[in-house]
Amino acid sequence: MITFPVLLLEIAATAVLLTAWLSLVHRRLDALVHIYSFQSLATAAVAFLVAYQYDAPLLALTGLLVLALNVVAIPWVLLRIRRELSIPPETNLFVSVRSSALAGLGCLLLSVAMVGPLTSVAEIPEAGLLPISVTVVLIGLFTTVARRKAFSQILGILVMENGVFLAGIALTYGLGLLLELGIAANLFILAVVSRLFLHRMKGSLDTVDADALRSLEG
Amino acid sequence: MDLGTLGTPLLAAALLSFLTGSLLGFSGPAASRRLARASLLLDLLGCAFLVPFALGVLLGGSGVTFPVSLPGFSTISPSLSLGLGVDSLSALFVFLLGFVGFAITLASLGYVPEYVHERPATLAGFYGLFLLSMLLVLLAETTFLFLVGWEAMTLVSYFLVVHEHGSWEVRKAGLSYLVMSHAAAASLLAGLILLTVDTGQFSFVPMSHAAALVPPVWQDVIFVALLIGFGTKAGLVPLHTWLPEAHPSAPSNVSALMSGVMIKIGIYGILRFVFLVLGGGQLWWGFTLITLGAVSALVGILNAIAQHDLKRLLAFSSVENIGIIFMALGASLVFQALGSPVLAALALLAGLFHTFNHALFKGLLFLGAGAVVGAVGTRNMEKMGGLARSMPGTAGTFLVGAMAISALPPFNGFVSEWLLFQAFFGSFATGSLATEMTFTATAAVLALASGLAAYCFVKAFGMTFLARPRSPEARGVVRDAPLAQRVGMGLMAGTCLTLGIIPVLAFPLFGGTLTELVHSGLPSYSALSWLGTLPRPSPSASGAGGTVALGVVALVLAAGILVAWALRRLGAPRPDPREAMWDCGMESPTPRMEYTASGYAQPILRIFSAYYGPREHAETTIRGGSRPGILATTGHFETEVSYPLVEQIYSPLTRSIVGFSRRFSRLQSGGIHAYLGYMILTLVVLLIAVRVAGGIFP
Repeated sequence: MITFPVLLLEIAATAVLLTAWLSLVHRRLDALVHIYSFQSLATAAVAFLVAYQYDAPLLALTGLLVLALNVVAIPWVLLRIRRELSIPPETNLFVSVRSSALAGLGCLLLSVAMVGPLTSVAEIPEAGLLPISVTVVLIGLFTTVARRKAFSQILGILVMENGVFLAGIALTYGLGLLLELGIAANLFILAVVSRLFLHRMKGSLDTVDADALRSLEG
Repeated sequence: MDLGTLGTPLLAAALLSFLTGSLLGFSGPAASRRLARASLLLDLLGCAFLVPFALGVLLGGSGVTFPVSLPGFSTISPSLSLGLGVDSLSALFVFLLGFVGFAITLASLGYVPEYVHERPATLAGFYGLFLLSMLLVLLAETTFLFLVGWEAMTLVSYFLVVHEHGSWEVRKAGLSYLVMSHAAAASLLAGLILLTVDTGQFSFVPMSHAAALVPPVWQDVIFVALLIGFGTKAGLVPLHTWLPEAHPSAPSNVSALMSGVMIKIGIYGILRFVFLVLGGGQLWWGFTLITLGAVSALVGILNAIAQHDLKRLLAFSSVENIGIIFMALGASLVFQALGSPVLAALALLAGLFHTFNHALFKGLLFLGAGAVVGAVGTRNMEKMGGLARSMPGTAGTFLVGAMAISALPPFNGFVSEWLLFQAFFGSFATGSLATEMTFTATAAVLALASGLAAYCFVKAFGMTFLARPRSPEARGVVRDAPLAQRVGMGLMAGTCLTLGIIPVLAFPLFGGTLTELVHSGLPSYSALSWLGTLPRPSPSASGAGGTVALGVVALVLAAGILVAWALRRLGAPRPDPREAMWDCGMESPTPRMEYTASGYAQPILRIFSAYYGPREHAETTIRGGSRPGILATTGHFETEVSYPLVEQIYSPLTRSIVGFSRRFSRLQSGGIHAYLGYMILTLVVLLIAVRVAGGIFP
């Protein structure tokens, strides 16, 4: 018998998964940032629901943190970077959209096959979240490989972090507030540093195409 | 001396001096000579503290290990006590470090401001760290601290070697040193980890109690691993290749310290782990050491003779001496395995004494070479000559060092090699034919090496200091080495002579170590009896068989010299035999007519041509003049020798490693996407591997 909160939880988790996959098939950078923002919202929802279900107020606090940073602050910084540097609205691809979509499915299959069996033996509170989180991590990593723009690589890393956060919830009801605070601070610094980095890159190489870094090789 | 009350403060003062000395060196402008001098003064003070500390342990205690408690060094966690400790063995090497370090640092006070033109303060800073790290290795009582000290010592000495990194050769030498040291450290680490795991102990003393329980096969594996590790540091053939590159490249006071003290720490490692912890092991361990030692002695000295680079010659000679020390250690192990502790003690005494002696005269020789190289501006001996007149102090002390290393009496080198010969001949008392034959052959090798060493150092001294200057640079030398350097070298030269005449002065220092390592005390020597044949192991024979005979010989010799001298003084004054030299009909002899270093080495190169494979290039131009075809106007002769070991083993090895790396370097595309791709690939493979292996999740 599925209770209402559990149903909501499953919907939220599925939303995280689907947004990760969406980030593979979209090319417009602004849309990608919005997708990331929505994914973070879903992640925060998962955190709130798990917190409600297991009565873990600290986890709820972490959820608030995600809400503030991942949903609002970081997307805002990213969008600003794109405007400031007038980065072309569409990312360039190493791997075509169609293949990327297939690769996303491959990531899902892989993690279900590899991590899925784990959920039946180990005593993990929200075991179902685990394959999803691994999929999200893999998709994020894949994005960093398959997209040329440094901008989309940053997005890939952010998606990965959402996956890691989900895994944390699945395994431990949240990694602990202090750790989460640290990770959140890191993320925000990542956003700020990447802004600086992209500025410098644009200044010296006149592009934000990460492939151009090859020319720096000695 | 009561060590309990005085030892710890002395040690703490020494550690503190080295530490502040090195910090001082780094604290200001690198070019400051004053800072360098101040830093070295503190190092000198530290060495001065070490000497009474070590003497207190050596003469006061009797092979007892007691932890030295220093604030902050006591214990980090119970299972991994970060302990410093000292026993007779480490105290002996601390004494070596303190005494030889003192003399070298004293000389450095003159050398560094005078001859080091690049960043003297930085050099002084690293120099203090180098002393500190060597002290740490010697005082370490646990494998953990030992390895930390060991690596620190390697890294600091690397920075010292590449001090003059403007030159490509120096950087290459540094790289070779670093690579060899790392390979050796890996082997050492493996050996010590095995030892720690097999015995379950970190601390040396309980480890030695538990070592007997380690299965013999593993003991053998550990022995080989440790031998590679320590042998590389000591410069044992075929692991010595870094040594003749690194030692000449370093500033000379550092070469002195490296050759004099650091490579001895490799010997210390062998003594600590093979003798003490593993308890000596099997017969073949000893024979391995003897064989490697004999090969090192020959390869070292043969290569030394072929060198024209003064410092390279000295470096190869270090390889030879390390070989001699290893022969002694091997003999000691063999005698121990055969159950003759007295002979084992004798051989070990010879080895330890030679370790000490080599530190003295090689330190001295490198410092002398440093002064010469600094004054002339080249390391090539063909460009030197005649320096005895402009640098009399350096020449005199260098001569003492050269005679001592050639094992001439009355210098200390003779004593240790003589003791070693006695130990070799003592093998006839063991009654094992194989052993007797091995030792006879080894004694022959030792004799050959000693003879060649004398040949080599006649070349080193003669070409550098005698005859007339062979180059304008050598002619331009007007000043001797700075006073402090001459005093430092004089201290070492004086010690070489004193220990050559009354070696029994030094013997008590080794007593505790002998008892600790081979469970047999020092042979009871009186002032002259070390000259006699060895004390027989059988109880019936007296302790000093041939003492009287040899003593009489010595007395007769002395009396003869005295009589000859008296006759000459008392007899009629003879005319002065000095006459103008025959000049072959030329106007006057020029330095071009002098015996050259190449020419001098020629006979040996021919005799051992199977080893050297010499390639000779001779070239003469005869130009027409009033009488064409008679007088050669220019001539050039050069001998190239091969370096079999390097050409046949190391070069192919290096080539294959470089080729292998090249193939792998294709992975390094430089594109960030490729690296990210590797990451995702690794992750996927790991996920699959974990599932497929199924070991973790049923």
